[in-house]
Amino acid sequence: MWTRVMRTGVGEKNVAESMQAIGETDPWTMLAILGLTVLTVVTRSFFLWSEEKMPIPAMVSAWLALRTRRGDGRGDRARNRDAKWRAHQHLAGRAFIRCGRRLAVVLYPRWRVGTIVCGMCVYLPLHLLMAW
Amino acid sequence: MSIWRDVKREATNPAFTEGVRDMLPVTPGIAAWGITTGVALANSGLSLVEASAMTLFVFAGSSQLAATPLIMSGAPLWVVWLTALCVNLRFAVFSAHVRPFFMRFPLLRRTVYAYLLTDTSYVVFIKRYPTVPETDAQRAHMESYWRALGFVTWVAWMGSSFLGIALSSVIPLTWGLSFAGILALMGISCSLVTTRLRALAATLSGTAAVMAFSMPMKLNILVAVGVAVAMSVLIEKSGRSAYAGQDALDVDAGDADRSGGEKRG
Repeated sequence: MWTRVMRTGVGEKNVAESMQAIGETDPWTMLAILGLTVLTVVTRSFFLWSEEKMPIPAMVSAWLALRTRRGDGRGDRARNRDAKWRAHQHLAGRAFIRCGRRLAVVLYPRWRVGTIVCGMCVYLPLHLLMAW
Repeated sequence: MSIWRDVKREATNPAFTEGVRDMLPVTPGIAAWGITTGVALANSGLSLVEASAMTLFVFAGSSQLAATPLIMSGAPLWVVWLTALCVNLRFAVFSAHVRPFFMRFPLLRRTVYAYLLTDTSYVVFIKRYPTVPETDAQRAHMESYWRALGFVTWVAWMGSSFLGIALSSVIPLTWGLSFAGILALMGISCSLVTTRLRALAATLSGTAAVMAFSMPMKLNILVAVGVAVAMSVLIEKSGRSAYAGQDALDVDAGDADRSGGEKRG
């Protein structure tokens, strides 16, 4: 099978060798990269190409609960159900959601950078010193 | 010159600057992830041209990282592409979601906008625009906002990736910088868990992804997506609700027997 020729990467070479590596471009690898580019374009615009009405995306987004806002377009029945739900709320579920909301509130708007900084402060010592 | 004027006008557009402002806090995560990817590409054995081409055109960190070891080990093309497809499938879901937002634009423009649809820009976008704008002014605002998100993402990603390639012999992968990218995504993902169904979907997909971790070709991601979507659909159907989310897990007294039967069957 025609696959790429094995060799070391630019990171392991000195500058002169890296320059040489420019000439070592492998057509099979470039073909793979071309395919990956096509895949990026196709997957990201998959549901954007057809002009026709698409019932599936609406279902998909509803399924995935991506566009849920309380209050809009909801009938009495839904509101009744909400009331019922509130009446016998699942304690565990509610606590879980509360946790999620609190995390979200804390993590996103205020400490978006803090998430990274705090996380790395915990992770790096573990990773570097204890080889996690 | 007129292009320059357009650029200047866009850069001073309040919607654009708002987008840049919203995107900046996530940028360290993108940059850390980009540097890691650059270092990994350069050290994997790709030549300078190949690593640069991949960074410039593929523009998808996770699929680059998944595909590169396969390319280097001489795996068949279909395996490389199938793996990348699995990793990229989430973008198709994103594109389904942004469809009503983007369909007003001409085909070429929305394809370009979709090309800039990364995890981070997508999440920041839907936080700012939970519903589709209705007036022309709102749409113009949305377009500029999206351009800003895409611009910041692209610049941060390209800059950090090439920095990673350039410094590949200095920065060891063992620093675990990629973890910063994961943290950035964790932060914004948690901010999206606002309903019971979303919490459930996140838990399910997370659990499935970890449990299926040993699968080849990063198939655990696909399994995680499949499990979460399937379970959410089942639960939503049993709630017989057109609206997922708050009322999805809740079942009317009248519906209870029916859905119970469906679940058992």
